[in-house]
Amino acid sequence: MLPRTSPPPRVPTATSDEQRATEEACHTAVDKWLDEHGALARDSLSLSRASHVAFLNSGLRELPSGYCSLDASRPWICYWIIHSLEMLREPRADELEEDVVRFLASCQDPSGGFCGGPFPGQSPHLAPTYAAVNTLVTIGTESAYRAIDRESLRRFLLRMKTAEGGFTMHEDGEADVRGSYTALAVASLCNLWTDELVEGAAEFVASCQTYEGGIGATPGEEAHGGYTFCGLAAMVLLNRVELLRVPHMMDWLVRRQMAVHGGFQGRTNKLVDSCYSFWQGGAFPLIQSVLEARGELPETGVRSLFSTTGLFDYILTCSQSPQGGLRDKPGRGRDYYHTCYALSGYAVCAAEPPSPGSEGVPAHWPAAVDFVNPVYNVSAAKAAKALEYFCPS
Amino acid sequence: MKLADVFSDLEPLEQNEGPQPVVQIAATPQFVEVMGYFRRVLVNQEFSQRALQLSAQAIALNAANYTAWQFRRRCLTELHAASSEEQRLAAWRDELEFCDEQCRNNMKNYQVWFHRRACVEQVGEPQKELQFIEEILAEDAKNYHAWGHRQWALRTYSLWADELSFVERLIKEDLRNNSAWNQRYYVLQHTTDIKSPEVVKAEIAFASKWIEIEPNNDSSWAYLKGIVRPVGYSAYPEVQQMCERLAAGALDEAAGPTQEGDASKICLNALSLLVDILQAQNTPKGTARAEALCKQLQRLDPIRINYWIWRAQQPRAMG
Ligand SMILES: [Zn+2]
Repeated sequence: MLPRTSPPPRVPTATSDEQRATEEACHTAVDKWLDEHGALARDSLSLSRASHVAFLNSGLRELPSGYCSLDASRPWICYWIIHSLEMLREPRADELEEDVVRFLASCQDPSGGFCGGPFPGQSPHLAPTYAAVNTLVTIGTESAYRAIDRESLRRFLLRMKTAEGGFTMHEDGEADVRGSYTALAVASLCNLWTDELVEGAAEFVASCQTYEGGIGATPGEEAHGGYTFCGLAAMVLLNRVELLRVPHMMDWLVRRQMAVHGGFQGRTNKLVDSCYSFWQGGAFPLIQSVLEARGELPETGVRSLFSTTGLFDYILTCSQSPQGGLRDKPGRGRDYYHTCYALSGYAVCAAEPPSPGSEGVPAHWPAAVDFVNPVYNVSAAKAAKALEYFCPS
Repeated sequence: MKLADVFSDLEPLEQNEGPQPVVQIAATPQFVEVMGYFRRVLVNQEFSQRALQLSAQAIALNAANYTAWQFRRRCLTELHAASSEEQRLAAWRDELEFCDEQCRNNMKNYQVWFHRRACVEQVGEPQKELQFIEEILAEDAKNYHAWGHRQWALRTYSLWADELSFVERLIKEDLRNNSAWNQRYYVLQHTTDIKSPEVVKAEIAFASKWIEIEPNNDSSWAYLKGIVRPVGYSAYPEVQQMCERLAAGALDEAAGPTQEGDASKICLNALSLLVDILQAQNTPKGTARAEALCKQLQRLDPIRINYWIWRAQQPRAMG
């Protein structure tokens, strides 16, 4: 069992006060669970699948007006929901899937790329482009694949390329490591990979690795879980991981797992947040396969370098909302983004090989979800199917 | 004046959701009206004063509408293509003011901060930026966008002079503010030779001072490692000495198991840096001692038990 509190600070500051309050909120959540179930027998703890599915399904057609801040991110909502349902092996009606395909096709800009909502009215943007392509790949039907206009998409990706080897998120927009990852992930899945597209891309990502070992948004910015995943996954796609200081990155990554509640924080001395279950957790299978290829993760030793038990515990006890859906941390409301990324982190844990140092977890935990391909964060089977479709050998 | 009157010559462009919409957000009548006209001026490429005002309304309804922000920049550029320098400057000053308010309301929004850059580039008074960001950081000391914007202003306009003292003040306010530690590194990276013995020595002293004040702080330890690791620990024995001293609690108990209560007093950061230092020595003695420390860490730092097993097995991994 993990310790219940961090050691008392010698010098309390705003950061340690917030940390303490979060630890208390987590204890309350765990205690509430204990009251209901008697003892922390992991066996009786599980994903509240039915209530998560109900929450996910309730958002697919209509959303309340409070969601208007996501009016320029509607392909993301599709991705968060469809990918979550896919991980939970919840089938969707064919008609609904066709409606999603039609909607995403309507978000496509004639000059290439997907917008945050139907065209016309918004500009094409790399983030909704990534979300739309991942959703279509997850749906995985012929009509879903054909909804992607690959020729104009290729031109859009090239237009977003900067002189520094980065990618701007949209025309006259910001360039950062998210841009590199989303552009390269889409190019890889849809077979739009060219030398011109990737020239200088690896050097740009490498220049964003900080003195801490993680990756920041642009050169010099603070190491951050989201950008670290994006940068690492981009380097895996580019097959240029050797430009990163890999063990140094591992040293940063393992320290982002919280000693007390087992979840991940996004940056040093920040609070735990379930979405980093994927952004940090998802980096492990990527980096572990690099170490394995280098002979630094032998078959006979540890295979998984973080605590899957700790992360499972956090997701199950602290991030499940009693109403269904998952949340950042106790005390916060559920939302589709955190539902998607907490479940994605859960799916990463489920696929990790057992390690001598980990306490055993009940067999039904990993069995509750389908595996994801951690590079793209789509179902492993669907990613393979799409690659076969777009890149026939 | 009502929107319908301002745009009486235009037909709003409705959003086509198709017969069976998905992820449709229930929109208020105001949202529908503003966005209807906004889509129309966008499609018409109407770069006018009224369109500029309309885009502000679109942003008020959804500050993450990147298209509306992009449209504003285009609009201002086109509107003032033939203006006097004075008029153009005045317009961008107004825009910066609009940005001030939007930044305060939407501190965690990519668009507003990117737009701010464009305004500063036009207005050209970067000194004021540092003051503004300071106000934002007073509310959220770790705001990622504000720090990114600050780095941009510093490097674009070479405003380095007072930055180290600003950063030190923030570290004094909260020694766990990792963004401030990162900023210190950033400043030195741009203003000094960060691998030179003078800088390394001074920064070891700086980090050590804060470690002595609060040994249990990942930020100061990460900074110390970030400074010394690239140049090698062997040239700076004071780092190992400090680790040995701060890890002493754990080293004493090597003879027998610690009581549960004692574990919390042990400085895990000191122990783990000792592992790095000893493994880097690449000697049988150093490696053996590092292995013993990794064993202790497996027990004292149970969340990272797999990592510490791996570190013991792969003494060269951190190279
Ligand atoms: Zn989050």
